[in-house]
Amino acid sequence: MESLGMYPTWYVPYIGSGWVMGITGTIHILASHTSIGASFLFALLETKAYRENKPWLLDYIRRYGVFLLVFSYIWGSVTGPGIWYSTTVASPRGISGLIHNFVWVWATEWVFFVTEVIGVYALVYTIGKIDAKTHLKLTWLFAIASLETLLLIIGILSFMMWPGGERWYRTGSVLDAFYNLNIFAQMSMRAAFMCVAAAVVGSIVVAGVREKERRTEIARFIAKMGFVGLAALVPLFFWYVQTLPPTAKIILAARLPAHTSEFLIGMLGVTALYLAWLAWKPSWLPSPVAALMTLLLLLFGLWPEERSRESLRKPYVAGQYIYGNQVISRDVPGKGIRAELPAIQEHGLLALHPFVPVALKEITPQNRLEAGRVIAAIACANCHSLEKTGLLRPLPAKFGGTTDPQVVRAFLDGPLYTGAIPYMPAIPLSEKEREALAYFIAHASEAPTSLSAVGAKSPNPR
Amino acid sequence: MQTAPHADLGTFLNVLRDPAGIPAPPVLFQWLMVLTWALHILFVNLVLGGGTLAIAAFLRRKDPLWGRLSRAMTQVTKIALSLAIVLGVAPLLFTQVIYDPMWYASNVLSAAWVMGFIYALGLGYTCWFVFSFRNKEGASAGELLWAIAAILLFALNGFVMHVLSIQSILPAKWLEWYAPQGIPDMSGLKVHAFSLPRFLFFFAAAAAGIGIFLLAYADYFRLRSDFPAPYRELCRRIGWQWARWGFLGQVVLAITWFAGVEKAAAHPFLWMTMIALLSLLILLWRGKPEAFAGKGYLYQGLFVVSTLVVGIAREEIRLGALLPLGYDPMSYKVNLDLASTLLFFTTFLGVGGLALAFLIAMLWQAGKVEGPYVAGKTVARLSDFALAIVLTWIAIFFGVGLFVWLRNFH
Repeated sequence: MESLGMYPTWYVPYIGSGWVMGITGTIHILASHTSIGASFLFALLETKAYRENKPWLLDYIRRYGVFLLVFSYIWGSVTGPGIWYSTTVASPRGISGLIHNFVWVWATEWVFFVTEVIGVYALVYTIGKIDAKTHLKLTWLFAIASLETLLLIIGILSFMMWPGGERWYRTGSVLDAFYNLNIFAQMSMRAAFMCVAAAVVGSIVVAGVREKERRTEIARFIAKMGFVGLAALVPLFFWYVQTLPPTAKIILAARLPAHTSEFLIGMLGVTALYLAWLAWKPSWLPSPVAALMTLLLLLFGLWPEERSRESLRKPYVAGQYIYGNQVISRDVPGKGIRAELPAIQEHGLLALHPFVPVALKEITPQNRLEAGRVIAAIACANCHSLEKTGLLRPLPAKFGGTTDPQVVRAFLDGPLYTGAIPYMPAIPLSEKEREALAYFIAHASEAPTSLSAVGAKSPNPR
Repeated sequence: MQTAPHADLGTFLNVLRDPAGIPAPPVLFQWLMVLTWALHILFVNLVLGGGTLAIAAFLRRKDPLWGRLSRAMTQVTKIALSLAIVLGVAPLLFTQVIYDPMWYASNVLSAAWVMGFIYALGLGYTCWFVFSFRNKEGASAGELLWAIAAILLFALNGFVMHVLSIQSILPAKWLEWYAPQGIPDMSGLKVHAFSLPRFLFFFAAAAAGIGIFLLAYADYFRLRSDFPAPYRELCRRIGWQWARWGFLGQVVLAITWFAGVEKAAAHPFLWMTMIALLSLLILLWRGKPEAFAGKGYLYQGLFVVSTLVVGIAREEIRLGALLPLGYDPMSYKVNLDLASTLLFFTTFLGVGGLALAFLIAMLWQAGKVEGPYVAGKTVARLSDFALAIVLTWIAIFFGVGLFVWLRNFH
């Protein structure tokens, strides 16, 4: 009996490791999308400055560029690897699967990253120092290199949703994985959002332009860019939905986190009003209001959007072959990958997990609670908090707070065992494992909110 | 808690490998990992060394030359940090390809520190930016707090990376660390391994690195009248001093570090490291600072080579720890994927060769000119080629993409 290639588990009480990933990812998305949108804003504005002989536009680009260095190139460039790090510790087999499929795509993206980072410093610090034509070419190079980072990462992100058909499973080819059904819809939607993000964040810098006419001209230029993005977002979203897997459509219809639609539609309206205000009366726009709008976009636009996207992928984290709980759910003949569910069904999860201590491989009445805790952490905690007051779909609450293990067992023995619920993984645990997990969940419902479901504690012989 | 015997460890480690395999021969990833690590660490040296020197010079800022040196090093550190981060992405990627079991296990065991690394880096970077905005002529002593906070946070980052590296090559202890007394600890709050000489070695490298950089810096600006001779001489003198002590520290710490490595004498690149560092130390110890005028680029080149040798030695130590356990990265399952392999190498050579060549050539030439710079023919041509290559790249991307997409879905 060979082990499964599973890693230790990291669990963050109450929020789960999933939220750590989500928070890091959301910050990165705002910073990176703003940066790419702004790079095109710079290129267009500088072209205008060059053609219409308006060198003062360069001053705005320089100021926005310095702002961007802090906003996007500190927190954007730190949270970029941060997403890797957070997925590494929260979902090691998920990120490993992506890296082993797409290493050369990521390496290619890295070439553009290097170009982009050198480009942004060159752009900001050589304004007025080098001749206008060379600088304009530099700005366009920066914009295109930035866009190319987007083009590459979207292929990977959209594969995380699904390959879109059976072909990749047969061929294992990176081209089939990368150019999946979802890629172009997601790419266009993100490009549209970039225009919005660049306009909203750019308005913070517009507020600092003193001369009224110049301020108005720049404000209207960026508001126009924002509007184009905003208007495109709606039809692109419908295209995006068409390219989602059937499971995602079910989740979209009925299982999104609370108030997601309200937040997203509301933000669309608020952003439209804001951009209209920006175009109409830019002189009435103080920096704190612009900064507040950016914050709103982050909290009520991106955060619910990212949570939804993460939910839509359920129960998978990559290519509809790796579950959120790190188990490989199906064969991928093109890569020589074998499903792990039959082995779990036959031997049990604890027996096959290489990081489970020997004493827990065999479940006894003495170690039942601890075994249940470990199973919950391995099999459930990627999507569920283990505490009853946890923030991430708390497991005890999902069972209505029942303290009766038999109620939990009914679910574990039926729909969970067979994988009958589209957004839940199949978890065919052994008889004793189901008993231990049910016992733990019932115990977690019973325990006070201070239950530290992950803190090391002695086996409870209850 | 149990510790797996060696024979089982090999199986255990190989089971952890990703079942997808890798898309090209492992040796490619190994070399790319070592090369990009060397590139990354060169800029890390500038961050740690430049940041420390900026602080040291700030303390003597009443002397205008020292004040100027502090401001220059502040900017160097700021830009080097951006480059260190972006260049660090590549070795991080390639490590995960052939050493995924080690990297993932080590990271999860200290997961809270791993996440702390990211936010400490962001915070440190922000502090340094604040310092760079405020480190002007007449800056008050209080501004130094931003710089000190930043450097301490960067040192913390170094500590985390150091711990992860060491933990990763001690798989025999993973189970014991994860589940002491048989109870899994999933908090990721603990760090489990540390080697002081190895940790300090990289700080000594930072001192040497910024010292060597200053020798080249003093040469680079020799034609600019706004970089007067006394300032350049100060840079050269300080660079010479920091490089000498940095190399001395590296030599002493390398001996102590390598003494703790099993069968160290059997690793040729550990010897090469000692030879490279000692040679540089002797060369620097012989002359006076003025003897190094005009030799800055040469020493910069030698330093790059010695850093690469250290990178290979690191890899040798890792292999020395893992091969006897039965983990050989060269035996990784290969699922050859020519299309994506070609994508990387053509982009690396084409975009890397032309776009980066344009940026670097333009910045290099512009920096040498006092006042406005007008691109010459070579740079102008490079800029056209750079734009052409990135546009061609997009055309190919969408051309291939639409073909595959239409074939697969319509």
